[in-house]
Amino acid sequence: MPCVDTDPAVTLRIPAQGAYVVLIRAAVSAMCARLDFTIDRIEDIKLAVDEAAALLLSDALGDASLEVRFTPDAPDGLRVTMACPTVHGRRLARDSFTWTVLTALVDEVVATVAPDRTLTIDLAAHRSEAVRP
Amino acid sequence: MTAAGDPPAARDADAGQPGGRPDPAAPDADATPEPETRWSARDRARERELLELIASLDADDPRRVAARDEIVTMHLPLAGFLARRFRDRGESVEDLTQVATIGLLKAVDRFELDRGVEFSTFATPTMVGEIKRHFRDKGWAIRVPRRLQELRLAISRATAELSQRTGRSPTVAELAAHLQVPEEDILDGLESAQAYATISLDATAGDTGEDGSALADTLGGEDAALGEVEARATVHPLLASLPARERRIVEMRFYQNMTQSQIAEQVGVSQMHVSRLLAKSLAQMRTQLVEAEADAAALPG
Repeated sequence: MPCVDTDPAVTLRIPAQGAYVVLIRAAVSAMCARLDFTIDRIEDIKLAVDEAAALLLSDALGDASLEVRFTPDAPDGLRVTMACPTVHGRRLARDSFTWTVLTALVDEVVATVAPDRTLTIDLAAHRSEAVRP
Repeated sequence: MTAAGDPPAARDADAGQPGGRPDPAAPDADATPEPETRWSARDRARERELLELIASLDADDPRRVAARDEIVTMHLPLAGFLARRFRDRGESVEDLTQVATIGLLKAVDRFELDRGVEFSTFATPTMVGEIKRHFRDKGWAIRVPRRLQELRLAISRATAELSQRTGRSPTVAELAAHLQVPEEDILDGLESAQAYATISLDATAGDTGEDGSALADTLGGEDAALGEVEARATVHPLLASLPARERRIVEMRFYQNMTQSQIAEQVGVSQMHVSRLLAKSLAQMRTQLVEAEADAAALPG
């Protein structure tokens, strides 16, 4: 079933409000299931996405949208890129609680702030445990 | 109070009392037999005596403690009765009875004799409130349909079984095959286990990322050593505020880098429960960070 290399990217755009985060979670679950991630892995990624969303929403511009892009990350991973225009354009400090949680849960975390104060959090997770095809 | 929802001690005297209406969210209590114990005039006199004693003594007076114990014991059947009204919601009656007992203790401490209300009338909503709070804290405030609760339990069992067989946590496809349900149902079931997450996200403003806290010092990373002392100082109170089991689980996941399945095995709960407790703990720590920052009122930027 998984066909990572040929899978197209999927983009989800939601209002930057907590009530819509459940949609991201559902999408994450479905994408991870498609990639044959284990339950442990899926729950970790969902926790990470929750955490990133909480951070983004805490400083989101009033009527902003949160854009979530799922990209297959060869050979066996998923990249989740979450971006939202923010009020302050704060960088994600490496000694912050959020950073700690994110780096513990996924394999790769990159956070960038664009000149227009759009904060982007990029999470990459790989299928860590060997799953028999 | 209706007859079905009537706690034993409130039976006669409180027939017309307000405040004891059956909880509309509670399942029908028709099938639940009331506790066997009859409430004699002698019991009532003893209850009165104990309550007066409790009201008159200092909190740490051993006689007060003994009186408190006795009155709690007298009303344990009521706690059990109320707990059973909430069974079949994914929590054991034993756990719920304990929760109700906590409510009972609170009721003893808060009861005012001169208000002329029967103790049981006063204690019942306190215990029910405690049980409901328990469910809310557990994340079941959103009513999860029965089908999903059963599915969740089935997934939980299957996860344990498959993990044991393969030495790793199963995939969605494997669970679906094992339980002979569509993969989508598995995803539903997993999400229902996390039903509270929508609440916690709504309820918390989230971390601003500007604070100095981190569990990072044991997680590596080039910046981890930087400000380690400060980070520890910030994160320890956060960790300390968690209940012991939650704290242990957070430490195992983030300090010892154990997987959820490994933690589940060690703590003796399901992996889904670990996941739920982790998410809840993180949300709680996040909220406290925000509050701490608001207190400090020293936000840069």
